Amino acid sequence: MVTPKEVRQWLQAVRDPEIPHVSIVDMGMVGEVTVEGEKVRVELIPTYAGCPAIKLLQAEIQAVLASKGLEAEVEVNYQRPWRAEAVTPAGWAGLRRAGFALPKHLSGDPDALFADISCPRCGSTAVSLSTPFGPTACRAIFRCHNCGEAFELFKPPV
Amino acid sequence: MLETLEILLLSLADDDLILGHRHAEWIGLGPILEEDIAFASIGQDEIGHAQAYYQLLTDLGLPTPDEYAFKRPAERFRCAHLVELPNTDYDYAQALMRHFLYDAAEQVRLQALRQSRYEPLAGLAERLLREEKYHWLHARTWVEKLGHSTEEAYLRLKSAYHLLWPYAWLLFEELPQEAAMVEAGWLPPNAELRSRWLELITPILAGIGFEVGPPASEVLLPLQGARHGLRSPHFEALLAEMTEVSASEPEAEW
Repeated sequence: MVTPKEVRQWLQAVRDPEIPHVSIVDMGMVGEVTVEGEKVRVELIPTYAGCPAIKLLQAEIQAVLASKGLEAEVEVNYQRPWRAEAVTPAGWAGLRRAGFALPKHLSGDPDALFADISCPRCGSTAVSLSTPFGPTACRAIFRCHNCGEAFELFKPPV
Repeated sequence: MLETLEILLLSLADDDLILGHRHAEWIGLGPILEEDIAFASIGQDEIGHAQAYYQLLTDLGLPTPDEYAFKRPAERFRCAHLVELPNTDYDYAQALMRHFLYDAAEQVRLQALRQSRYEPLAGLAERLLREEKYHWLHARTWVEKLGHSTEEAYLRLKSAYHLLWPYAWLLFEELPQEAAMVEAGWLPPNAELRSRWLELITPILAGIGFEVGPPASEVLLPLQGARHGLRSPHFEALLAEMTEVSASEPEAEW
């Protein structure tokens, strides 16, 4: 008998192609998992509603579980906000490995989220926000005044 | 009540979809790279939000998000005319002012919808508001910065404001069957949402020297009817362009 816990372990193989260092489980995107015989229901919680990777992730979840002989139904839930608090310690470590600066103040407002950021390359706090937007919805672009490089902040919804 | 719910959700979704499309037109044409990225990213968010609203209807057995977006005749759209206006001459001041007036309205709308007694909508509004805060920060910051910068920036913003103001006012035009929606506790009356919107934007606009007040009724009258399905002269071309690819292979899997 397959357990939801096993399903979660298998889903460690599913990663957003834009951030392959972190699984969707460690990203906190996997909500409820229920198993009934060979049928599995997985709740997928998008980080941003407009994230274009969702359809791909849905297909990959189904493929991973199919390889275990399970038939998966993936329900994308937009009615439940995704929260950065759901990212696991392994998830934060993966985001750091991916080269992102990480926010220190997760809840509240954008001004708090963009405060007290340090450069992921040189560690300097002499940085400024170039734009709250970036190549994907979950990134903002900063510039470091010490090393002169641009870098990206991982930007969860607040 | 399903028909009433469809009117409400389509008005929210269509505003986001069409403005998302207009924002996306800035890709490659922004005045600076960061603004190019900002409008592209905000546009992508808005289209995602539209999809999530359509999905609430799909969950009740109505058409899919793709069918709503790409296979619906023009007269069945319910967006406000503000979002239909073209990016004439790619005037950044105009795009910014529309973004500001619209995103202030979204702040007010979503804060109210968090309390909606239609629970799926309340849950979705909570999510979308957390994403929208960045849009509002962006719009407000640039309006304040440019409003206090050069004479040219000020004048261009002002002329954009005068052009867009009656259209923005009509974002809060009463919806068909609005009384039933209010009765059901789905949302507060649009007239009340407009008052909250004015409270939010008036200090910012007054701060850069713009006067705020109701547009004259002879200006508003010919612009009304968007929520009833009356489209502006700009919509047909927009819809043709937006649906061009999907119409070329209607059965394709995307």
